[in-house]
Amino acid sequence: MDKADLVPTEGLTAPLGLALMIGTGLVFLAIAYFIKTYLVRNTNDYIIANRQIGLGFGIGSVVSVWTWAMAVMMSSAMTYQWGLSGLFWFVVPNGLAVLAMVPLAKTLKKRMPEGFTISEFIYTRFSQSKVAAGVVTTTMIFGILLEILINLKGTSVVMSIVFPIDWKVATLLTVAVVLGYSYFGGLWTSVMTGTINTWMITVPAAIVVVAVFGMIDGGADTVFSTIEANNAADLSIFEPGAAAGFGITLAFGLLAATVADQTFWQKVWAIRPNHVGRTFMWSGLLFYPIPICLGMLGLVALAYGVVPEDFGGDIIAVGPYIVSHIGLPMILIIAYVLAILAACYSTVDGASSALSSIVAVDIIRRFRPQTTEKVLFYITKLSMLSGGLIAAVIVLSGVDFTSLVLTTYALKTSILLPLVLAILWKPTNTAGFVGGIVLAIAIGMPLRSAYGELIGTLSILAVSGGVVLLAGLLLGRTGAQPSEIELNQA
Amino acid sequence: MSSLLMFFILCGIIATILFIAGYARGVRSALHSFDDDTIDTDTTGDLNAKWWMFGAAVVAATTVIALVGTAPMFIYLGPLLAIGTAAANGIAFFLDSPKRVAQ
Repeated sequence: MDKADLVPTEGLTAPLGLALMIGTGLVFLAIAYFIKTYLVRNTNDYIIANRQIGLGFGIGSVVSVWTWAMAVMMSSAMTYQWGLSGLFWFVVPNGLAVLAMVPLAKTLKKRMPEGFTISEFIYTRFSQSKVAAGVVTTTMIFGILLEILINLKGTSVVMSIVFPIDWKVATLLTVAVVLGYSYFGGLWTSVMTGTINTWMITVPAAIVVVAVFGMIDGGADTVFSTIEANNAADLSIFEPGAAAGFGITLAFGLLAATVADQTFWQKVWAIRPNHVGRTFMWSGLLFYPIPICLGMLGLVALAYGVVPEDFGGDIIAVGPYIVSHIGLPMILIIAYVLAILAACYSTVDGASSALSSIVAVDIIRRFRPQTTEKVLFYITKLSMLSGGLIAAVIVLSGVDFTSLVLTTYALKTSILLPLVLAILWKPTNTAGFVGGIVLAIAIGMPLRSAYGELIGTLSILAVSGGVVLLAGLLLGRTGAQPSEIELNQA
Repeated sequence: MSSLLMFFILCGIIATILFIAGYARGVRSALHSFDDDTIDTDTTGDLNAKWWMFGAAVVAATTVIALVGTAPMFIYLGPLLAIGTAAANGIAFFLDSPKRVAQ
């Protein structure tokens, strides 16, 4: 296999790329208009879909919102960088993070059937503690911003690799398209378009991957034997480098990414109670094949012996590079691009929808309870746009968003165990919850910068969990059972 | 076009038909129940998750990835399962019990 055979496919023009982005958005806009007309009457419908989401839409939306544009590309990239052990450490914790939501979601849905946000639960759980709720709300907002930001970045990378489109144009267009359609129907739109996106990141993506192997003389046999001859370790899942390099820290990070993410909690309260456990169980299981399938593109890159310099130096571009350079028919390249756009759009609209629920419940309702339903509805809809716009400004400004990544990482990792314990362990109290998070950041972050990510992550988890447990054992439980909270109906 | 690719396209078409049929059912169900403002708290019929289920899921995913490293034909297992994801999502709509009428 000679990488000189990899040449750019003719006809991948900028207008085609732009048409794909806009065309997908227009289809979703039509769906959103239908939803706005027939399914959305008030704030309750907008942010929680009136708690009427069933199993099919629940699974479709959870799978699509968890399949980030970056994840679609990272599965190929991690396989390319670490071989199958990279794919293993990328994929297995990813699905497990969704499965971990099953017991938490079921417990919380039962204890607080009329909830909206995880911050609202903390507020009620810890005797209206504004500090505890504020920490959680801040974490959720940072997490949502980062989610949108990373997906925008990922999409701009793909569009600029596959098509001669300036990455800034791709970023702006993505934001305009997603916010344009998601504005209209809120969570219903996110769920219904997200489910379509689940189809787009499965069936077309699978056919593209098979077709890629079909373009190689000898297909999978040639790829397999070439890798085996070059470096057989790439075909093993037991290489320790990947675990130490990123696997273990990624595993904890992914757990925090679901458990400490309003995008998922919003769905927990929107799904009908007799489907919550099944939805997250099915979603975790059905998610697994997606990155495994797309990871196979990394094997193709390994067999060809491409180096990062061949595709701009950033390894996440390896999948798009293979697909756009191996000689596939145009229709299949378009299918792959649509799969990545689908992954991006569904995550951004899911995150925007989650942000709207935070603004409505944790900010407006908490601090301006006298706000009328009509005004609340408008503010909620406008808030849907805010996350995307802020993220777009950050991406376009070209500023280094390392500090945002670090802050979000610190908040999410430190909140993980206190949040789990607040849901599952009755003696958890306010002092332990807030103290655990604050001390974990104060102690863990310096350790992280001094000794690296693994030590830092483990320290944050140990301190945050340890303080909650200690405070719970010493002080006992404070706070009340969650009371019933419901937004005004129109 | 190879017979293998044709097989996957056929599988994709079947999965797509299942998906579309399920999706249409889901939309009809949503139109039927979206304005039911009663708070349903009945969890009867939901999955009674056991820890072994999570372990089995992890073992299954691990096995699929490990198999890729043992023989070339397993490279196609991921794409086949990905098509299965779309089909299963479509089937899930048919397992979606209608919302209970409030007592």
